[in-house]
Amino acid sequence: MSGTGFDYECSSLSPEGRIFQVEYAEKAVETSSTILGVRCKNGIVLGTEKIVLSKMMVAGTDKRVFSITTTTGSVVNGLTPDGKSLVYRGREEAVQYEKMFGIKIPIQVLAERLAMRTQMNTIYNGIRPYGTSIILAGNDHIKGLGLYMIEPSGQCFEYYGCASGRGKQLARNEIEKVNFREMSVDEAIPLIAKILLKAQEEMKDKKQELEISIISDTTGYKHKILDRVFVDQLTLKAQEEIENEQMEMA
Amino acid sequence: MDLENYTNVNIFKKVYEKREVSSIHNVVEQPHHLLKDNTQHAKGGFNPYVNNQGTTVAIAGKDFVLVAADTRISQGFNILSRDYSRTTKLTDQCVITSGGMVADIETLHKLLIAKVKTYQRQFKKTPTVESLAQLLGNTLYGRRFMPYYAFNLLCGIDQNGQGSVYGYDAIGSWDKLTYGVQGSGSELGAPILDNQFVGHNYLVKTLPDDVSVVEDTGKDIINSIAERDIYTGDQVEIVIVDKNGIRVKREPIRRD
Amino acid sequence: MISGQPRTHTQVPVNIGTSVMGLRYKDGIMLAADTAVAYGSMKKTKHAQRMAAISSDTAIACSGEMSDFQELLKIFREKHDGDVIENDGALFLKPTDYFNYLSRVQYQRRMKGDPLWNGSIIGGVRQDSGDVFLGMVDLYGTKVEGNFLLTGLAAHYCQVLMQNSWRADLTEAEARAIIEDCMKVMFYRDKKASDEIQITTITKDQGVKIHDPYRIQGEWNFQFFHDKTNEFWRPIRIYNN
Repeated sequence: MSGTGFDYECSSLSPEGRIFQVEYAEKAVETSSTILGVRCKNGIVLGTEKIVLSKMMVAGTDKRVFSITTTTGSVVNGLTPDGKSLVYRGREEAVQYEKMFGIKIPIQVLAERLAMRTQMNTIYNGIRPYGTSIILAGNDHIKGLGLYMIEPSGQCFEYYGCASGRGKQLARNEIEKVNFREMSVDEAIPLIAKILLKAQEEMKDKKQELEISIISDTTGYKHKILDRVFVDQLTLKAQEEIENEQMEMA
Repeated sequence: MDLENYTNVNIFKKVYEKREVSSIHNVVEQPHHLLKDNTQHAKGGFNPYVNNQGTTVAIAGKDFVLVAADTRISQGFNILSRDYSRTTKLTDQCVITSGGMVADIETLHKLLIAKVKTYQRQFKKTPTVESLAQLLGNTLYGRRFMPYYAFNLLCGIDQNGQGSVYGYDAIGSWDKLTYGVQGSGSELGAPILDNQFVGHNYLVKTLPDDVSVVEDTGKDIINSIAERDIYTGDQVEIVIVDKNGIRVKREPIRRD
Repeated sequence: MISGQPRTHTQVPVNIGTSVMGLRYKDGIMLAADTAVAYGSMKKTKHAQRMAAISSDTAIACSGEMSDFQELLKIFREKHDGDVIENDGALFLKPTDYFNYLSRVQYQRRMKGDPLWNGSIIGGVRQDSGDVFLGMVDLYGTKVEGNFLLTGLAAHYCQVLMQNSWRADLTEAEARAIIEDCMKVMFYRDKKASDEIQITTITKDQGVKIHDPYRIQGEWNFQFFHDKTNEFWRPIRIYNN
């Protein structure tokens, strides 16, 4: 499919109606770490797994979960610098919106604006699409809780549960199996940890880290990134459980 | 009922009618204008300047320089603080001490500290007192059209190890001195300093090069000013700069 | 506004809150203000809040122009929320930092010739070290720290009252009694003050706690007042011509 000259820039479609640059950007996302978000009974959980790149890297440096406003959280994958750039853009949008309208930016508006920004990057010459997927979670006074995912193409939907990255298929299946919508955030967190670990099964021998954040009634619908120690304990427990399950299966 | 006594309106009426139309010339300046709240300003008027008063004295010696300053800051007849330090260390061999508007003084001192740091990074050495003297002059004149309301004395040990004092007005006119006094008590302090350290009226001129003598004189001068100047008082802060660095001490003086 | 001329209406305060007070006591800081906002000599609102928390361990109380107070809160909120989201929810600025920040904001605005017309008292107790801080900033950016601070007319009427009754080991009840005493004096003498007051306490254990406003009882039933009134009292007379 490549080599026909249609893949150098995204200003023209291929005869089959594809934009190769966008597809390559999606490739960058598909080969990177799994991110997911699920809507629960009383909140939303965001999470990601990641391989610790170097033993000498200071823990907590490779961040993928960010706050955009106090009540909006996000998790990114793919090229994380691209994701960060989108997060910073989101912060600017949120501040600007609040200044203009005097209310917190509704999560849908924020998602839509970031999606339009992402889409912009797929049509202009001289810039490349974002090589990142971003999952947004927030709570606003108009629609309440909302979970959105934006992909490199600029595609943006609202979800009850969504995943992206290398373990996307597995994670989606697992999310569909469990009825998270009838579950509280606290109950969901260990399951999410398990799903994330399962999603990177083939990298098991490398050191892995999880990042999890929540928005729930217990946090006053504020975005809260769970602290390192707690998540590390969670990871260990989840790993044990997975091993036990496998032992039983065998 | 006597209509005349019916109400007391007439009393007021008389007063009202008798009142003269005030003109610019017979308006007596009321000391109480200072008592007014900031919210009482006339329409359209914000005066960005306020004088927080206070006095500072600096005396250069053979191998030291001494600063004696009071620690009171006021707004109108109100005392805002009784332990304000109007002297800031710029380098190990140089301090600046100022009277005037506190907000401007703090801004100026902060700016100078930043400039000293920039100088150190750029030239890999600490600026001399002479350099700082020129720098302060330029900094003040740079704000010629909205001056820092700060009257400064820059005090330090020069390259020959001698004490030096540089005196400034608010817009950067400056001169090297052997002693100086700034602030609300400067008119009261200046003649004492002239008498003690120049002594034109004395046949025998004694120029003290002993720190303790100068320190006592400095303290006495601030004390004397505090006797007559209502804006000077509370504490005297003594800062001594010599080859060993900077020493600071405080003593209480009259608080009324 | 005359076109071409610079805007000057921001240089006159319009909706004015009168004096605020702050004092240190054994457990932390107590800030107090009444709840009246005056428009000229009319009390425009008698139930306004003139104090607010600007972080979990810092609070501010403002006298002067109330719209500028709201602007200040907006500036603080933006700063606070921005810091929180960039630091993953960590407490970033300490009470002294907010104090210095406020002073710079005020100084910047006075340089513009468009000041935020407020006298503000900032109080805070650091949650980590327990350091207690109380400071005051005026519309020029002047910083003042102290054990007890007063703005506006209270600086004239209550200075001595505070001086004589303040101790470092005041209990909360004693501190409250002093504040109420001062507030009573203000209510009697300051036409813009009201008898509904509000208190904020900041302590290490509980952080910022903004208490509900309540009324202080004033004593007006003096014989002196009765006499004065009776002296001028006359029956209503109706003229018929």
